[in-house]
Amino acid sequence: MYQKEKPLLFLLPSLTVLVLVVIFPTVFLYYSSFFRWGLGAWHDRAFVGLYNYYFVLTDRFFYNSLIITLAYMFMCVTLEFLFGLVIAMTIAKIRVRAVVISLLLIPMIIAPAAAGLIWSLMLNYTYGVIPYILKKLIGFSPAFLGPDYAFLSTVLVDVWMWTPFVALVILAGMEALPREPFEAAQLDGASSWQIFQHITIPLLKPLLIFIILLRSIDALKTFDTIYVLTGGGPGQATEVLSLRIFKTGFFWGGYEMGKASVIAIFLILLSTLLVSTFINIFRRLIRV
Amino acid sequence: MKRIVNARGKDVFITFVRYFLAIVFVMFFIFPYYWTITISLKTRAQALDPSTFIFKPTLENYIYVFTAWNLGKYLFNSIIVSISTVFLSIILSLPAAYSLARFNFKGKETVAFWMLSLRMLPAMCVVIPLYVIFSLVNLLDTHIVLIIAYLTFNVPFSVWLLRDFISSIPLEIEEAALIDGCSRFSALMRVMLPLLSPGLAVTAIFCFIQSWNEFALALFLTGTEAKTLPPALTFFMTSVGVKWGELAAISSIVTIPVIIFAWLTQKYLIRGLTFGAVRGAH
Repeated sequence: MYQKEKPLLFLLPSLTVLVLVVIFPTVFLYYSSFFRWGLGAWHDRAFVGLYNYYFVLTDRFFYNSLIITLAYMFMCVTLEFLFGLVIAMTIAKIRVRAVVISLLLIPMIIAPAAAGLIWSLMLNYTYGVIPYILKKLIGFSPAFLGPDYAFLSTVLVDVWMWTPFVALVILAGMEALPREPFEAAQLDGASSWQIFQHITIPLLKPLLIFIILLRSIDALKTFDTIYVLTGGGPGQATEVLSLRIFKTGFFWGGYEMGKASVIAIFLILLSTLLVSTFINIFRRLIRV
Repeated sequence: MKRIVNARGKDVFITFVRYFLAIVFVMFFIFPYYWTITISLKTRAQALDPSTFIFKPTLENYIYVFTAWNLGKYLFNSIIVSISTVFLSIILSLPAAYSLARFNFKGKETVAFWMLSLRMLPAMCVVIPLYVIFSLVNLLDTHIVLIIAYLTFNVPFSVWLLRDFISSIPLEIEEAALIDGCSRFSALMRVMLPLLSPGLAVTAIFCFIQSWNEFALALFLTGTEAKTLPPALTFFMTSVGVKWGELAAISSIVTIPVIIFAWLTQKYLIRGLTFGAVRGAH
């Protein structure tokens, strides 16, 4: 009953727009990585071949950012996953769950820039409430935004924002599970821990991988919370790749956009790696 | 050890631990937000004193940010940009979503997943080329630049979510309308559209929230004229020093509309945030 040409006709408007606003700019990004050029001075560019690539690949700050990004991703996702799992188990059988959920969704829904600001007020050494409480309770407080703890503070903000999300996804997944395996296990006298370990986790596995990958992709591209909380500092302590792109291109005199493009290309490659794995899992999850 | 059980046969101790932990978790996730709201209602001296837990609330910070800091302008920019990009995204995405949900053609899933993958591009990678392209056509620091830039994530997202909503409407309903003599167009308008309206509302609200919260693109592609609230927040942060009450007031102005929207669509929140992969718990 449907003609053959129609599906493409329907797709045309959005595909055209996506090619114009995403594909064309991405191609441009690759092209621009072969030039030395400045912010707002594209007409004044000089072809430098592979020099920008050579520079970035021999720049220790690039590797520093790469390590910080990977560490940030790893810590955020691990903590969110473990913590989220515990929260999902805790609130699964609570009666006022709707209320709990509507409170828990606040961190994940507010603007990340606002979350960064909220935590920079909370963690401020002189006027912040957390150092204040710690000083009262244990007599001292670490400098949360100082060189030693700034990295952990950026992780804390991400964990605060996204753990409830992980928890709610796991909760939704648990509810969609079939009942029979659980009833059978209970009849056979399995303990709650055994049921959790041998039934809940294996059945949830595709969903758990899905959520871990989704969170990894988002953590990889984090920019706003870190920009607001620490600006990548102190020094280079929290300079993830997104921040490195910003500092290289927009910050230091703004004449190194070519090098910033190279770092951006590496970030795209990393994220493509994760995204393609994610999409494989996604296809399996919804079975298409 | 003897288990103490209540009337419904549940272990009292485990239930107690469960509720206790739930309260602890909720406190951890709510306290920072609650604390910021209280700072916004404090006077300047109280705002910098973390020992003030009980105080007489004042709205002076809110009045101050609108009168002295001209926050109204940024609020207006945020509203204009978010609403325009939502409308544009939905109009562009609806036909594509319909096509991907209802037609069968070769490469359909590839197109759909390709679109989804665009949604996940890091903002900092898109911002460099967009900056140059828009500076060449003299559009930087206008509403238009953000409305267009936000299509990069709103269109893939809307296509994906609307497709999920359309797929969940039984095909038979649409076919019945066609058999009853409706044209394809009027079947869509009179039968599908009303059934799809909750899905449209949810998609629109999601796009609105994403655009309203967006930071990196707005920070780099706009200057003083078209700046939206989130980058304005950091602009004030660096320029005003320690005026915490005002900063907290802006934070609550940025976040409260979004929280209300999220509560309205709570049932669909997880479904939206997982691109339809997970039906939410509620």
